[in-house]
Amino acid sequence: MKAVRSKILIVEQQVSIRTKICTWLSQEGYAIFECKDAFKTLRLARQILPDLILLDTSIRGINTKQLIEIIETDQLSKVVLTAESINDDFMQLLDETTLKKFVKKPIDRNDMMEIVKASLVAINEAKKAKSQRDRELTDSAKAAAIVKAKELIMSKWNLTEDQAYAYLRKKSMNYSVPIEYIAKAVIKKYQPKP
Amino acid sequence: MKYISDEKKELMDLIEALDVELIHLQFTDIIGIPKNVTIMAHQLNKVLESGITFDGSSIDGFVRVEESDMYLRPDITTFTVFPWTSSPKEARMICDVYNMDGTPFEGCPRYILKQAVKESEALGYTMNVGPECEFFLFHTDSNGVPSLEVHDQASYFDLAPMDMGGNARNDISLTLKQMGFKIEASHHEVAPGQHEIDFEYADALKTADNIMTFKMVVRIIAQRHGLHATFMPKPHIGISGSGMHLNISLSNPNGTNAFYDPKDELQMSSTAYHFLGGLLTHAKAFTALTNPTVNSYKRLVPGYEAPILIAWSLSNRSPLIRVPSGRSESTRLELRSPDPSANPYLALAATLKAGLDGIKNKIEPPAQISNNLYEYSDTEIDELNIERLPSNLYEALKEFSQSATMREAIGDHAFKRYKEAAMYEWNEYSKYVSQWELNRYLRKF
Repeated sequence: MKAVRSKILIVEQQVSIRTKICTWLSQEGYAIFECKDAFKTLRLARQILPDLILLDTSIRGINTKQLIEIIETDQLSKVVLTAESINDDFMQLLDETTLKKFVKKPIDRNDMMEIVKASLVAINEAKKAKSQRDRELTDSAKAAAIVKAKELIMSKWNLTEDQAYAYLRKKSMNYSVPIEYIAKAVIKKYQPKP
Repeated sequence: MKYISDEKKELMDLIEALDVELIHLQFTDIIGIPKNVTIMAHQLNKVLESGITFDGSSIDGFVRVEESDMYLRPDITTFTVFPWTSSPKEARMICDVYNMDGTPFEGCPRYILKQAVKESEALGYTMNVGPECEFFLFHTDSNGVPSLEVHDQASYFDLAPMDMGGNARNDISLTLKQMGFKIEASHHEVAPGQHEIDFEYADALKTADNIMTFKMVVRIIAQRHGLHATFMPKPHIGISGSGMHLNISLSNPNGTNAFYDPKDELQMSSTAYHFLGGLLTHAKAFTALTNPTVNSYKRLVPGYEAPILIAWSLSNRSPLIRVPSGRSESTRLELRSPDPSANPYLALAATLKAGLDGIKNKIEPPAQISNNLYEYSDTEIDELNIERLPSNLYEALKEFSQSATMREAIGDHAFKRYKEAAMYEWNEYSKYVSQWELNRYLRKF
C-alpha cells in the first residue's frame, strides 16, 4: 500500500521564500499547499486539514496570536513558526504553539527539513497516543455500559449473568447493531429515574 | 466583600469558578450597531453596584457633547461565556443605558422596546417573536477586506460538497447552542454563499437580545473560518437578498396563544386579525425601521421572494404578511419585509406598537390575496387598492416622519435622532455617482 504523504501548508508572505520552501518540501515528497494571508490560511486549513503549518509570523490579516489559537484550539493542524528575529514578542507566539518549534530566517534547507521531520514524528506519536487513549476510553465505557445493562436485566427478570449477556447478544444480532448500543438502550429504559 | 444581592453573589462565584477574566459590557446604538466596553472580571462587583460611565456623545444618535456622561447597567440575566475563548476566558453582559440622574436614557433602544412591551402587557399580551435570519459568507482578500467572492456555489437546502459554507454554519449553530440558543433550522439558502439559521421564538426583549448576539457570533465564527459574514440586505444584483422574517404571535396571561380561535374559518382570533390590520396599516411607516439602509430597498424588488406590496395571504409568499399553516399554539403572522440590518429593538418596538394599535382600534385587515402578486400588472394592483411598500429610504422616511404611532413607538428622542441619521445616509447616497450611472450615461450624453 502506498504511504500517505503528509500534507504541509506553507503560509509565507514573500513569494521568493514561499516558492523556495514549497520546492524543497515537494522534492522531499510532501503534499504541499500554500497561501500568503491569515484568512486564506483558515479557509485552506479547514478544507484540507494539513498535518503541519509552517507559519510566517509577519503575515497579514488576523493577529498571529489569534491565528495560532484558532488553528490549535479547533484542531485544524499544528504550527511551526518561521521568523526573522527571535525576540520577546516572538517567544510569546511560540508559547501559543503545541510543538514549540520554529525555523529562523534566512531559512537553511537542512535545518528546516530536520525540524519538519521531527515535528511530523511528534505529531504522529501524539495522534497514536490519542487514538489509543480514545480506544481505551471507548472500551471501558463500552464495558461499563454492558455491566450496567446486565445488572438491570438480572434484577428486572431474575436472570443469571450469563442469561442476561445472552439476552443482550441476541438483541444485538437481531437488530444488527453493536452490543453496547443495546446496553445503552436497556439502561435508558430500565434505569430508575432519580 | 459586599454584594448587592444573592443573585449577584452567585454570578461572581460563577465567574470565579469558570475562570472568566474579561467581561464585555454590550449595548446597541440607535442605528443598531453593537457597542462594547470591556472590564476585568474583578471590576464587575463595582459595576453591578453603580454601573460604568461612558461618553454618550461618541455614540451615534445618543446625546450631544454638553450632556455626554451616561452609564451602563448590566442585565445579569444576559451573562454568557464566549465558548470560543479559552485563555483568557471572556464573557458578556447586555446593558441598559442610564442618565447620570439614574433615570433610563430615553434613546436606549433596549429601553424603547421595554416600554412597548410594558404597553402590551398592560393590555394582557406578551409578544413572542421567532426570527429567520439570513446572511452571506464571502471570501476576504489578503488584507482581510471582504470581497463578493462566495465560499460555495450551492443553492437552497444543498448539502456538502456543494455547500462549503456548511462547516462554518454548523460551527455557528453549535456555538449558539453552547450559548443557550435553541436552533430550529440551519440550511443553505437560495443564493450562492447565502445561509439561514432560525432559532426558537422568545419574548420580544429576549429575541432582540438574541438577534444582536446571533449577529455577533456569526461574524466571529465566520472570521475563524477565514470568511466574512455580512447581513447587508442585497450585496449582489441578480440574486436573492438577505431578509429577517419575523414570526409574531401574542400570548395571553395564562400562556395560551392569543391569535388562535378554533371557531374561526381560518382558526384565527379577532386579536390576530386586528394585530394584522395594525401591521398592514402602519407598514409604510415602520419600514424605515425594519429596512433602515439605502441598500434595503434593493432587496424589496419583484422576483426574489421579497415583498413589495402591502397585503397578506395564507399560503402565498409574495405579499408582506403570510399566515403560516400552523395553528393552536403555533398560530402566528410572518412579517416578511424586515432585513437583518435593522436595529432589532426598534424594529420589534415599532411592529408591536403597530399591532397593538390595530387591536385598540379594532382595525380589520383587507381580504387576503391568494395569487402570486409578482404576476399582477400595475393596473391590476391599483384596481385592487393594494398599496406598495416604500421604494427607497427617502420615501420610507417620509412615511415614518408623518407617523404619530411611530413617534410614540420609539419616543421623541430616538424618533428625531433616527430621522436625522437616516436622512444623512440618504443625502450621502444621493450625492454618489455610481458605476451604473457612468456605464449608462457617460457615452450616451
